[in-house]
Amino acid sequence: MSVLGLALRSLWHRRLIMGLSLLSISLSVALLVGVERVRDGVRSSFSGSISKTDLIVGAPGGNVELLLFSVFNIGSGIGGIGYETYERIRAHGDVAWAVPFSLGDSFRGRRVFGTTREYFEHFRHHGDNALTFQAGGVFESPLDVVLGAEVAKAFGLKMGDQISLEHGVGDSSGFSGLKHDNARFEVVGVLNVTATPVDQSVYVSLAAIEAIHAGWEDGAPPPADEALDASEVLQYALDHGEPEVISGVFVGAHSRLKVLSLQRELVQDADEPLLAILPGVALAELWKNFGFFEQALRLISILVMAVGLSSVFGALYASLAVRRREMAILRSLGAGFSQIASLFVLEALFVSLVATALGMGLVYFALLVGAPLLLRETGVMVALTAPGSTEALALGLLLVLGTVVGFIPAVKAYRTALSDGLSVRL
Amino acid sequence: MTERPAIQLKNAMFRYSSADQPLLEIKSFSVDSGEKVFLRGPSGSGKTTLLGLIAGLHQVNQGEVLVLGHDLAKLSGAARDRFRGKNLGYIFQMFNLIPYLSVLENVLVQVGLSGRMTAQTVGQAQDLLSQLGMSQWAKESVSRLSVGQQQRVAAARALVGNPGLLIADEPTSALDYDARDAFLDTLFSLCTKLKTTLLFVSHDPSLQKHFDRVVELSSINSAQPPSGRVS
Repeated sequence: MSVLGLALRSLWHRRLIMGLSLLSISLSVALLVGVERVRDGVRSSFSGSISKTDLIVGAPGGNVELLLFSVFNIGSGIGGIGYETYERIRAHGDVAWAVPFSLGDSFRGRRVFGTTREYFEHFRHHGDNALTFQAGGVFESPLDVVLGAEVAKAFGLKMGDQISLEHGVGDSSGFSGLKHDNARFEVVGVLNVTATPVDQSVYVSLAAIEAIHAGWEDGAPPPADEALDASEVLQYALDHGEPEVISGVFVGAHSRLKVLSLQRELVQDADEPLLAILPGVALAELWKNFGFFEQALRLISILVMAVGLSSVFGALYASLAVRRREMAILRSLGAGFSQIASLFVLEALFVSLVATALGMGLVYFALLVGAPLLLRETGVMVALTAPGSTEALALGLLLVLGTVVGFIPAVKAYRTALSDGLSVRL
Repeated sequence: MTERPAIQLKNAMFRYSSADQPLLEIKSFSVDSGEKVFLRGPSGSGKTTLLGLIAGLHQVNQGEVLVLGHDLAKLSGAARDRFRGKNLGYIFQMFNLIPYLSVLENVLVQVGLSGRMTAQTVGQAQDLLSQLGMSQWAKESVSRLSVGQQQRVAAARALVGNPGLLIADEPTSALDYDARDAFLDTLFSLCTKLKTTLLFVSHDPSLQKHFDRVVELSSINSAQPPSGRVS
């Protein structure tokens, strides 16, 4: 019987108490890795919410507010900018493309994003992913609507369904209760899941936004007799075309090198006060606000791991008294320090190893089952990738600490065995 | 048989710490190779400590302890452990066995630890178990054995791999009268067959008739009996 065999048999002998320690470390490994995976997923989902857009231009306000409003559907409007500003931006030599957008209405709590057909051409998320349709395509008529994946799913909407929009954004300020029920929009396209706020958005043309607000210039609905009916809305949209005021513009530059000078020029040369932000910078700034949350999650998982390790330590240490006789026997049979120490260290290492494997298995199984659900419910895309460097470091540390944890009782056991010699009395 | 004694102590002195009185001071004590010696002494007279010195678990403060021709003081701690694993068999008074191993595994644990697990030693372990009437228990858990059966398993373990010296510390004190005699008889015949030197320690004078030689610990130990220290 080798020392490893002895260690495993001894471990099996005390399987109940060591099993509890094993379970506790497995869960802490699962928690640690799970938290890291989700954190990673949240961050990459979040920072990939918009990409390849060099500038977002809007009315003056905070950088983060403009980003939240234009990309994350959060917050109420920060004021508008003139349509001619958009036209001037588009005419700038360094601008490759510019897409205007107008926000402020909602559909059952989901934001309505008024924009142009070019939006679907230029919008990118998570690197170079363009928007794709699971059904239909981009709107053609002012009374067409394109739905984000989650909106279609949540309300069971399909191609050809008719919906009407609501005035105002139904968030903390509350749904205004005012409906644009004079116009019925037909679903002509449903987007694929993107794991971005796009999934929760409803897309119509700028002309449609303009038309359903005809007569709402003072912010209140027009008297019933003056309100346009459905056919008049369509006609109004076709006649008037573009709105006078929009919420902002997404801008792509010809060259990334020109972005900073473009940002400066656009803001300085405008007839009205403007704010132009670099989405990447604003995203990073915003993510920093969540830093404490990340740290808290990490701290919790480290603490859980410490609890797991101390339970192994406790179980090993508590076993010393019971195993005192065993150690005296092994000493009389010629076991030296290295063999006695190996018994404890191997045991601790084995428990840590199995716990790590079990915890990893648990978390990847949970992700395999839970990732689609998580994506659907929260829009967080957790990739089933290999553990990152943080996890590798943590797991390596766990194994090292597991060994150390075994070493302390090992030394104690050997010292006791030395002084006991052959005369342990039980 | 070789000329050299199996055990030889010369001017050996031992105390647990320098503040203590010496527990053992043995001018001269030796056991010849192949001899069966009964070492007698009351509880607390230092018998187990003397066995610890011979087994290399304790170190003399002065003098020499030679076991099978090796001066234990000249070996490193790890070398003494290896020496004990290969050359000594040891039987405790009771609780000799590792609770989580089967009977056969217990018999083989010493040769396993000293890297001598071969088909030959496994075969010998099975032979010894059958000579001790324990072969039908080989695969059983040791917790199901009576004390007498446990002592027989311990004897098998102490003899497997043919150690030069078998040390037995009151191995029969937990046995009843009949079991005791049967155990002694078997142990003797096995030691004779394997030419193993036996140092047998007990406080019970009724056993001494079986042995080649009887040594009273007080007659070789000139240290004053300790007042408080046990064994």
